[in-house]
Amino acid sequence: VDDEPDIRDLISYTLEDCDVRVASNGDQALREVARQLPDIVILDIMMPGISGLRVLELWRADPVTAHLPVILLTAKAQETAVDRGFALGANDYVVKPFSPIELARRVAALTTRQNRA
Amino acid sequence: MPGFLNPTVLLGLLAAGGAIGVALLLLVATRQALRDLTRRRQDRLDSTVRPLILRAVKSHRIPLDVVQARGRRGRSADRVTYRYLAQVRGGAHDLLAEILERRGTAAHTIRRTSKRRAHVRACAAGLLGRIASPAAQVRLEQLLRDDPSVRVRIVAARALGEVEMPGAATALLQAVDEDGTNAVPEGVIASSLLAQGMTAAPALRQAAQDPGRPFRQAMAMDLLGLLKDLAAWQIVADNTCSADPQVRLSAVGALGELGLRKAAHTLLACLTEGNETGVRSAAAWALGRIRDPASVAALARCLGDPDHRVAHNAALALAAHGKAGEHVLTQMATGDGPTAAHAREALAHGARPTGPRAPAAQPPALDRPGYPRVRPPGRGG
Repeated sequence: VDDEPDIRDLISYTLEDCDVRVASNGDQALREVARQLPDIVILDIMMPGISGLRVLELWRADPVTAHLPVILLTAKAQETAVDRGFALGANDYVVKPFSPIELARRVAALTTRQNRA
Repeated sequence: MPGFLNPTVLLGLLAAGGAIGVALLLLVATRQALRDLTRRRQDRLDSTVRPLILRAVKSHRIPLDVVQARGRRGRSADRVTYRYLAQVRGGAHDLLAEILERRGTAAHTIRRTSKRRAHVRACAAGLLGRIASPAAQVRLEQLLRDDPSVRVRIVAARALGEVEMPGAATALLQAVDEDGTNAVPEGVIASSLLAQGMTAAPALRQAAQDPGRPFRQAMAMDLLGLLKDLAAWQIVADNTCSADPQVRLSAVGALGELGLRKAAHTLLACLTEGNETGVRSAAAWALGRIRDPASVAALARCLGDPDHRVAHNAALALAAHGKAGEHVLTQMATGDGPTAAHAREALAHGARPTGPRAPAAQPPALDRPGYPRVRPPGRGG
């Protein structure tokens, strides 16, 4: 979930072995997740409209999505927002600009842990 | 009847005006249509190049057809590569930078920084920051030092912030001008150094130990604090005894940002033994960040300080100390007078998790040093 098309492209290609669905804002993300629950969400914090943190808050309040693994994407300057993200139940975070390999590893680690649980 | 009111002349004038208006409208519409056409063509080209670049990022193999692309397709390859270069780091960044190197785009961009027009040089400098290669760094350092345009020097400073190499931090610190004639705002240099993160720490530590350039020394300590470079705490603590008042103030503020309990003793000395209100109020603020129980008694004594800034920050610092501080504040909050007022305000503010930063009513410069700062008199600028 990111409002920047370049980031969505990069993540889609990085995770092209997976079935990737993209959303460009918080509203669309809420709709997509309500339609079909994904294994993991990569969520930008700063987006027009509903912020990533608010989306996360709404997911955590819903029993269906309460345990949905979420990786936050954040710009360097917003790293303080990550603390709030963790308080809301984020599982991990990645700082933009990001390393695609590192992101793929984190996704793999989180989904593996989720599958074991 | 004057000639220009003749109906034939008036009609002629109206017709000419209408013709000019229609011509202008046509011109604008044609220009817009041409722009749209160019943009659509670029989008079409970009959409064919984009998958090649994205696949290269994923597979870590440089596509030869992208390297060899020329003309419109070549420009599209450059455009797409630059766009993704801004979004990635690590191996993916190195690969995209290498594509630009092999295409000759990096060298071309370096050449563009020597053009006559300042905005061309500034654009090229911004792109060099994305490439962030050693050659790009060298050129950016030259631009920051020697370019006649302030705008270009500012862009070069920002671009160097994207180059995460220790040499770039040293170049940025050298651009901090004590007499203010360089005119690259210190705020730009400070944010670029912050953007480099801990890569800049060694250069900042070195600058923090150079008493010959106090303005730069003060900035280095502010940044070490903001970067939370705990290893630098002793350098910062030593500077609380500096001969320069700005350096002393920055050192105290940086100790607060670092938040190490072992710095509490130094800060207590600044609070109780010094006579500069700026340093004392900053020390009170810093003690609130550190939250060492041993500082409660000294802060409590400062509640009645004749300087309202010291008393105000001491009250807020006590509120940050939790129950021990709140107990003192509750005792002092009864009755009239400035001490009780400070205590009541701090108790109201204490529940907030952000710590004892001064409310907006206080002039912020009195509570914490920041950028852009006012240069002390006698230093120019």
